[in-house]
Amino acid sequence: MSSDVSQEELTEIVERAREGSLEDFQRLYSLFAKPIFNFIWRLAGSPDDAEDLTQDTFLKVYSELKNLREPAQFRFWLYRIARNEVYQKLRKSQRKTEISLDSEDSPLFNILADESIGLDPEKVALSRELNEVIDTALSSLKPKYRDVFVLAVFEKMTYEDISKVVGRTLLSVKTDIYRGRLAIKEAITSYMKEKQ
Amino acid sequence: MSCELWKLEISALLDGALDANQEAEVNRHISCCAECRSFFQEHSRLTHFFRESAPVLDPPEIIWQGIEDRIASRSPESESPAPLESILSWLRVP
Repeated sequence: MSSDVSQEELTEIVERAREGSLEDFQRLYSLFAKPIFNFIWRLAGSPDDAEDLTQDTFLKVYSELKNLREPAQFRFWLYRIARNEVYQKLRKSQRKTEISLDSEDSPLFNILADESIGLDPEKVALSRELNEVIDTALSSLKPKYRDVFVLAVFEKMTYEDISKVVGRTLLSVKTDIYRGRLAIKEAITSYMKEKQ
Repeated sequence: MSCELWKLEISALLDGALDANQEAEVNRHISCCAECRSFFQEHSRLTHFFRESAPVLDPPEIIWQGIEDRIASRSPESESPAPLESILSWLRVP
């Protein structure tokens, strides 16, 4: 749940947006754009793709909102749309999205550089290194492990909520997060070995 | 219960997905099983690393601008006139 509003307030905002209020739709955007953008970024692997996919996600939300039967379920529905947008794109491109952080033209590097103005160059280098580790680890995961892992670890979503987003049983979510953890550990271990 | 199954519970513990009783049970096992304790310590560090060290980006403003533009271009006011209307406007004498 976005920390700025209660579930009741959110439901009201969703209902008004569903009736066509652009102002309330914009409110929904401002409440969820950041978590959705970061969620998509973690799944897709590139901030550039995340930019397009976040836009596509909210446009889909705008056009489909009238079909949402239970406004209280908005958050799960939103994450489901975001996840579907990412998978559709990945399927279309038929490849895992990977970015090279070695290149200074990398969009992620540019964002980090912009955000790091005035920061210690060592911190910028550390940020790049951390992102390289995280990106390598996440891109090594199968999509079914990656989505639940990102939702549990980065989004700090409960297993019950994750189960609603991905449409899998609670046991399947729990098992897939566990398997994701094992795969991440293996990916990080081999990344560290390569670096040494 | 095998260590493999305990590790599944430890993973859930790290995500705060267990109730108080289950948590106590897992913690008891961790305290007496070296293999599961090492799994817990290792993955606890990794989870902390992901949660605390991963940067969180602000979505660029251009995203909302793009959404607004696309919505505006779909709105009835900005839609191109119906074909018949276009033809009639063609024929309209100034």
